Amino acid sequence: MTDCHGGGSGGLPLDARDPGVARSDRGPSRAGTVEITRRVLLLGNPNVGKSTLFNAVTGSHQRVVNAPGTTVELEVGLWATIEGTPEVVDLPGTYSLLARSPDEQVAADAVTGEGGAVEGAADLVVVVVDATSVSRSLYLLAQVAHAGRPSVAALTMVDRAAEHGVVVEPAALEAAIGVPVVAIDPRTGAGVTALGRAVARSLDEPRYPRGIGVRQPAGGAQDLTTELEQAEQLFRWVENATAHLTVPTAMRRTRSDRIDRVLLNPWVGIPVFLAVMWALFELVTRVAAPLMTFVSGLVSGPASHGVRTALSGVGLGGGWIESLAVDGLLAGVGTVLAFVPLMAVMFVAIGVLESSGYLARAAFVADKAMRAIGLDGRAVLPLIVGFGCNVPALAATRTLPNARQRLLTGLLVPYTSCTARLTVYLLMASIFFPHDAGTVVFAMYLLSVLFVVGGGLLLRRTAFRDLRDEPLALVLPSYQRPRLRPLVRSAWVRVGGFVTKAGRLIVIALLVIWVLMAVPVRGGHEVAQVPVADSLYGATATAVAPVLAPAGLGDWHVASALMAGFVAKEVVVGSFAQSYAVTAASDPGAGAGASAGASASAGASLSVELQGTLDRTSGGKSGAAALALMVFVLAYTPCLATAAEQRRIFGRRWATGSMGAQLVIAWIAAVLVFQIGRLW
Amino acid sequence: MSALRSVLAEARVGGTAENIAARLGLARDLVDSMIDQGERLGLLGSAAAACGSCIGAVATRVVRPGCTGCPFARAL
Repeated sequence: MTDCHGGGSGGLPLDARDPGVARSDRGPSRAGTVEITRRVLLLGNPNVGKSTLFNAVTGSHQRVVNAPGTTVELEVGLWATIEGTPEVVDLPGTYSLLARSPDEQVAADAVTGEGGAVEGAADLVVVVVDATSVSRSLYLLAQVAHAGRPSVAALTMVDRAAEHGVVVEPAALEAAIGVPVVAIDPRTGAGVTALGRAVARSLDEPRYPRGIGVRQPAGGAQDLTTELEQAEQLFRWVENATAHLTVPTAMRRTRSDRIDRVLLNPWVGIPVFLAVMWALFELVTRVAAPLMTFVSGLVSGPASHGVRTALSGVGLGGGWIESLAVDGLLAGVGTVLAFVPLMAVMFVAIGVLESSGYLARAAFVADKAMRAIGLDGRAVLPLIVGFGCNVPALAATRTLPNARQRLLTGLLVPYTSCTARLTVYLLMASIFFPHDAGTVVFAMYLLSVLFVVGGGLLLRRTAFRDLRDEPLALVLPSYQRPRLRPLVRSAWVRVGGFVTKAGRLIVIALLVIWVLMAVPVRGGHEVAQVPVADSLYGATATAVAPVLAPAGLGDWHVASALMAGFVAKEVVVGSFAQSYAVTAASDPGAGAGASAGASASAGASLSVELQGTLDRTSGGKSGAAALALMVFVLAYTPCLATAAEQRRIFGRRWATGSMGAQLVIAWIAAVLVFQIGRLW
Repeated sequence: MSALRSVLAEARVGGTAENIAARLGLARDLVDSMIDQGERLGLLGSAAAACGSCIGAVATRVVRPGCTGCPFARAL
């Protein structure tokens, strides 16, 4: 250790102490249209109200970014009420700067200025101090000072501490530690303005806790003895700083404690947990679904009509330009917009569970079941939501505290059978197993669970061996009433991230599919006026079909429907109907398919066509082929939006690997099902 | 002996955080923090973690100071 803070000198390099010099070294960065000259980090233990504080100080001036080279999300915004609008970074929650997970490593690197987690050094660290757990929070603050960073303490949960009989006076604590201490309630906004003033002052005149020396750059890992001695000194400082606090020997039983006595009891807690998860599932499937239908209808109806009319007005109607604009671009934008209500509902619902304090209890209750596949209890939320829709389920992985756990869960989510896949199961089961349709559909859901469990176990023993099997150590936050404004604001920012990042990929992919369907390869058709069979898309499906032959599915109609299923599983059935209708139209003598134009008999003709096709491709074992098709649909890429969301959250490498693995697994499983099934 | 060393010594012989806090007259959250730091340094291991937490058994970039020098440890 070198000298203590306060004297303005010491072992720390000048650039980390002087905001002006620090910024001139790395140059200003930009957030939105405002030039950033200074940076403030928000640091604290998990569940102390850090993110709520971040929302309170940044308002709508925020965005979500990934820490460089990681899948750890950081929220970055502007502290709008402070002159010069410094940048604020909401760091992952941690109990220590000695990290033991990638998320904690990002937080530690951001404070120390190492590792490139956040570009350059921070000018100030606002340490959120939990009044119910002052010692634990102050240890983190001591580590920040030890790393040579000036700090301000934002004291939260003062009312909760008082419930336990612990009185924490900000002025007394400030006198004890030597940096500004401001009591705040981020949920109501109380004290946030005063905190802004303290931060502004500290940015101009940085202050450091008294009595903590700056750690000398060691040029590598320090030995255990040195680390232990430093920890002893920091804990001694914490003991001295908290000596004036009166902590009752017996903690009082609070309202949260009384509720927990009920909700953490297995006999009550598990049914309540299942009821909450059921409500969430219903929210995703029933409440959001009409909104999605409404938005889709708006795009395919009035918006499409408007675009067609506008193009006709300028003489571009009826041709390939209109088709590109309406069936390509607008359809892509419509797909993205249709997901917006679902994502918004999901983000608000997750926010309610999180800010109310229930999510921590749900994790506690589900921990044992999740541990069977090497995940902790918090993974239960995305996996259950996945049975409604995989896209918001991937977004729900953000509730997991560890980047590796988020990734593992995110790789398993596509195997949860979403409701879109149900349309395919119902069609195939009703055609091929009319007397056992319910059992077959149920078996598909059972298989989905097996895929998740098996996939989890396999990944834990291969690519995720580094995930340590640690017990769930979770400080249960007090129950609180969620506040609407921060919830809506946070959902708005996250939906914006989905639309701009995942949405771009969806639109591009749909445009590529439009091109494939618009380009004729035979029959002398005009561009964008071509039946599927004669298009580049149809030719590709014909080329792909032999690959599906070992699964009893070697036919271009099937390949075409499965290719369309990449966009969304809802279109698989429509694709079958479309391709058979085209066949019938081009060949009037093609049996029952010729009646496809009559809506009353369309379903019947599709079943006859499908049965005929699978009978032919499976050598008379159409039941086994139908099962293989359902298994393939269950296991391969759920939809384009899921792939785009995986790409947004986990990066291109993992998203591509995940899609490839899903295809391989789907093919292997389908082949196995068919080859075994044909024996009966 | 410092409070940290006392807490770690108590934890090594099976003391719970609550018992240690009561015996040493320390705040419960201070004891929690000390035990947590002891685990991070590699001076304590939870029973549930066992061999699965050994750096030699898993691939992790977070190398604990307590594992330095152990023949099973390998820095990645």
